[in-house]
Amino acid sequence: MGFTEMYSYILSYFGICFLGLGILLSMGLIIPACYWLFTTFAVNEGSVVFRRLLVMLAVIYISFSYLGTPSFYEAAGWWKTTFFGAFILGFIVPVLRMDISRLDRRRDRGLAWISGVWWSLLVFSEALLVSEASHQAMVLYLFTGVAGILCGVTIGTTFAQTARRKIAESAQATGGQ
Amino acid sequence: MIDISLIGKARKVIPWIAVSLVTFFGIIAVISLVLSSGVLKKPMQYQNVVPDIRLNPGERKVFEFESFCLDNSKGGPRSTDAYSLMSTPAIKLRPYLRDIFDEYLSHPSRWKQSDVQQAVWYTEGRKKWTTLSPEQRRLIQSATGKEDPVSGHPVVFLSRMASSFGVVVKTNLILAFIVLGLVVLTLPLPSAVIERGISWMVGSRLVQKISRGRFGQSLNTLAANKGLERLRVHTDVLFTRLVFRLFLRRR
Repeated sequence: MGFTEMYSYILSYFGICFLGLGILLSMGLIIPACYWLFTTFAVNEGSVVFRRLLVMLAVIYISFSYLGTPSFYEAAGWWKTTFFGAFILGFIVPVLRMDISRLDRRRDRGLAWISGVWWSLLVFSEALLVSEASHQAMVLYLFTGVAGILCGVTIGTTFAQTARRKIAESAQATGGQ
Repeated sequence: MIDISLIGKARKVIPWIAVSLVTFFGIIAVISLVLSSGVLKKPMQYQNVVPDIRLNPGERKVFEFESFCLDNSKGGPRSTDAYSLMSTPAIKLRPYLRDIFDEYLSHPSRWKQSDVQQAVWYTEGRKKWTTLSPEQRRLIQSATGKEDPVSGHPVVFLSRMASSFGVVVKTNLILAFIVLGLVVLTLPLPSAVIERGISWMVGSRLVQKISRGRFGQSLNTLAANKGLERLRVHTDVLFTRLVFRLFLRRR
């Protein structure tokens, strides 16, 4: 073996150890990450808009960085269309059903559920990737769709709650006069 | 607020980390140099075969190439994909790949292109020796001088593991750290949420130490930062105004 081969040969043993540690760490952290994600989505107190906008951006970033993996190259092509279609759907539904949104809710369970589905699909797709399953296009499109719905619902719910609050304020002001 | 003593500590730690890394890689380099001394590097055959391509502006030349796929896990290229001709580090980094290309270029009439392609994928660690045809095995044996050379090779094992687990590890760690950051930046008492999230994986004492110790306190202090609070409120106000405008126009 030449110098480069020998160097990479020795370093690869350390690389295997680091990768093993990384696998353990990522397996350990994905569960608390799931809880933190549910909490940040569901909590309906404080600066809700700021929080939800950031979480939505994080979901978009993670979804597209995962979908951009070279292994999924063949399935790509309609990611963005699926995402935007689902986003619009997710946005419209809570806005149109603004009348049923409740302002006194401390936690938004619907968002927590959708984020749970998004997280489960991500973990399921990762498991398929690791097991070298050749075709998982359906799971990936489902994941993209759920990511779009999650982001759309996040903004739609926030929009609906804000508008609802405005209506309530206007009604109070009119009643007061 | 940033603790100034932390900057002093970082100043001390960073040179030590740099020195340790240089020492670590240096020791491995010395060991590699000692172990590999006396081994002459074979000149690569492909450099004699591939022409030196130089193009003047606006000039057009046509070359015919035989190409090989280096990564079996990646999808086939689409007709709309742009191609670029460039050197790849795989020749240096992947064991036995160079030997297989050299063998093929030394005896091009002896080996079939399809068999060479299978041998290239074998060096990736995704093809098992037993699944190869006798002709493909003969090619690998002639090229490397070994039977099933890839089996147990740490570099191949690492690259195979990294190609399947790398994406998963990267995605999970990014997700965990981004969400942790969001908890700190957007929730009023982040240490309590962090505590509940990790309570299942570490002992209660350690959880309390993390969340109620200096680390948890500094996260709470960061979350209560006035500038951050102002940013949160401004974002909420801007969004509310936007909704009001849209809503009032509609009504």
